[in-house]
Amino acid sequence: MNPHDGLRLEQVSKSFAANDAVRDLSIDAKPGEIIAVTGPSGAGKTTTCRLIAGLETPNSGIITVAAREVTRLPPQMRSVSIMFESFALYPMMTVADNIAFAMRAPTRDDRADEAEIARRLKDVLALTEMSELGGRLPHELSGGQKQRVALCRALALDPMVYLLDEPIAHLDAKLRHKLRAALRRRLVASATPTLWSTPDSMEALSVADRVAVLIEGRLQQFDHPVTIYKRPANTRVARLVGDPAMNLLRGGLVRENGALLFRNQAISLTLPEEARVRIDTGKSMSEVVLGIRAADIEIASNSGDDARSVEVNSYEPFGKYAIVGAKLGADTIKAKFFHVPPVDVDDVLSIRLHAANAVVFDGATGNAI
Amino acid sequence: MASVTLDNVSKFYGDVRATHDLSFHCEDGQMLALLGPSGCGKTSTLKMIAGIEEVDRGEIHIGTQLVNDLSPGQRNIAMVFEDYALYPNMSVFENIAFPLKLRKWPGQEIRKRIEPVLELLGLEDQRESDVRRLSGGAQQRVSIGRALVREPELIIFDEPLSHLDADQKVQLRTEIRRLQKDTGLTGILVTHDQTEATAMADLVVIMNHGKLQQIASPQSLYDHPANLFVAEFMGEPAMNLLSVRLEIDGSNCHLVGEGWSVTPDRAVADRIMSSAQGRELILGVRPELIKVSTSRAVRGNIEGTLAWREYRGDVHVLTIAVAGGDTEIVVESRQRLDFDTGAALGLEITAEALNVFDATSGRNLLTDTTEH
Repeated sequence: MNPHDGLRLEQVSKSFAANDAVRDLSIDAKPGEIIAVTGPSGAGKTTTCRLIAGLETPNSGIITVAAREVTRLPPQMRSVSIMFESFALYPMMTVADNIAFAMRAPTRDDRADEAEIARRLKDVLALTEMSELGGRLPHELSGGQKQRVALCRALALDPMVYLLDEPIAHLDAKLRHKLRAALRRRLVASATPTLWSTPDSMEALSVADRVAVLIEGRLQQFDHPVTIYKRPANTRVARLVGDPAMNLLRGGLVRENGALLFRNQAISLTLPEEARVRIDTGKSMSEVVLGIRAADIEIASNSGDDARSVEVNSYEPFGKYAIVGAKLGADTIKAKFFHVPPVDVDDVLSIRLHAANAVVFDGATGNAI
Repeated sequence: MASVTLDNVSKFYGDVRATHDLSFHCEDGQMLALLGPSGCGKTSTLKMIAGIEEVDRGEIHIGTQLVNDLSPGQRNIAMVFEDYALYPNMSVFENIAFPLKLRKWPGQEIRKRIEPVLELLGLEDQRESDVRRLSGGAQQRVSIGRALVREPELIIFDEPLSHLDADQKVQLRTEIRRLQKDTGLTGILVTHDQTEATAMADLVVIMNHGKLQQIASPQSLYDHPANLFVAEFMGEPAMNLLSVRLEIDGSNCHLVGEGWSVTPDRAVADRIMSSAQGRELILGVRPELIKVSTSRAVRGNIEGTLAWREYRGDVHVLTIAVAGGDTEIVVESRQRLDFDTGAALGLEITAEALNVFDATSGRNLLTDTTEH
């Protein structure tokens, strides 16, 4: 990889006592690029932000910002703008002063004059729909409003990197949708790289140019959103991404009449041509895991060979679609039906699995084959 | 297990009215969700049912018994909390056994009661485990087990999934629902999350500012929201709410926006034609019920340009700026899209996809049975 002017982490590790918070992490964000870091609690998302901001020092590895190594520089010399998940507002200062405070900080080399501060303040308050609240004190705000103040404070600066740690987690669905759009438009128009951390994998897919999936401090996959969704690198990523997550079925691969089939006690499914060509079954493939998206399961209207009867054991009617859980052999599968069927728990349903987008994982390692 | 009935229940904190003549009924063996944003009064309602807060006005019945003046201990209600509230120095078994030990049950009887509960919750292999070492989902199952062994008349679930990671949330919500149906328990679920309410409850009470907005099944709330609050609250992305004017032309009517209009079908027209010409209305349309196309031939009744698109895995969410105004319409599409930001698009709102609300009262004119 060539050096670029954005953000780069190379083989960064940080442990607290005996626990690896982050291990051998290599990711980068180009100028104007948004990368999302997603994963469950304990993944290392916040530690990653703190390492880049200089609030923690890595045990090993290199961090560069705008082609300059900052690994061991103090926070104020990094030109990094961080939004804390905990907000960290000054309780005695108004919203406007909280936001302006960092812009006035004497140690910043990108300090703005008062006219510029006023302009940026107005701009970020409008962006987050907070224009009326500049004079309020933090204790007069709701949790969602406090979060937006913290977001404004980070965005008002003109840094070399934006670090947004769960920037919209506490807002309602409608405002989250609006802010994803507003923030993305603004951030990609700037020449600044952004790292956006979120436990919500769907938020990561929708807002980022590339997504880094972290689990227990280790990078599982770093790729474009469509690739993360369609080709998860391993079963850990597959379990994390999607609404609902991918179904994972245990079984084996067999070759029959030139076709490649996935088979277990409950089903036998012909895999697409692409998989047949790519997968070398010279090796033993008695243990694999097949990943199938819930939306790739449909209700079978006719009773072909490939239709399967299953007993419904959960039914979740989300208005425009229903998520139906059913037992398929030893596995419980979830199907997402966009035309909501009038079914209920314990009903028997005829379904068909579509293998066109299926992903095959190694049964032992969990890695995609 | 028993039913729960609230009749005109009000709660005051000084001048603030936390709940406002709240009435609803949860059948024996049903799960009812109290759903609403923070400050809507759902937690006050929970506390009054549990007996932690006094009822200032109105009546609460559990089964046929009036419980207003009963202490929490006299009500036989079990609670499951968002932070599990387990005893950290006890094993799984000891945590679940605790309420029975308090009642001085003999060890043999306790074991007899707990074994089936451990099995029901899939905790058989973890009975001796230190609860601190369990995943959040397993800890919450222990907490549910502790509630079940008391054989309460009612279990209250207070934001039971809030602290779990996404995959555990999805798993546990299905498990709780299954358990509730299998054991026939009566449950009150308190949550701010529409997904949890939808997945777990038979009936959902939507609250805002202490007032009941609607009580209905999850599907019915989605298809027939009673008012603008429910319409916006249920569904993600939210329902499009567009300001329109009613124009009547003979026996037909049109809903006219800025530079576009929609002609509702007969059934809808009949419901709204009794209103005056020129009346201000809000047209509500779900994002997934709008058709979008680039080809001129099939362009619909609204034209605009794509302002923003979001990838959401199974679907794309499009924000479209309507031509000749500052209206934005959100569309959810399952098609493969071969256009990008700035593309000229035609939108078609089909007649059967409409909800029509009164702009002043916020009521849904298609479902409202009161006079307007």
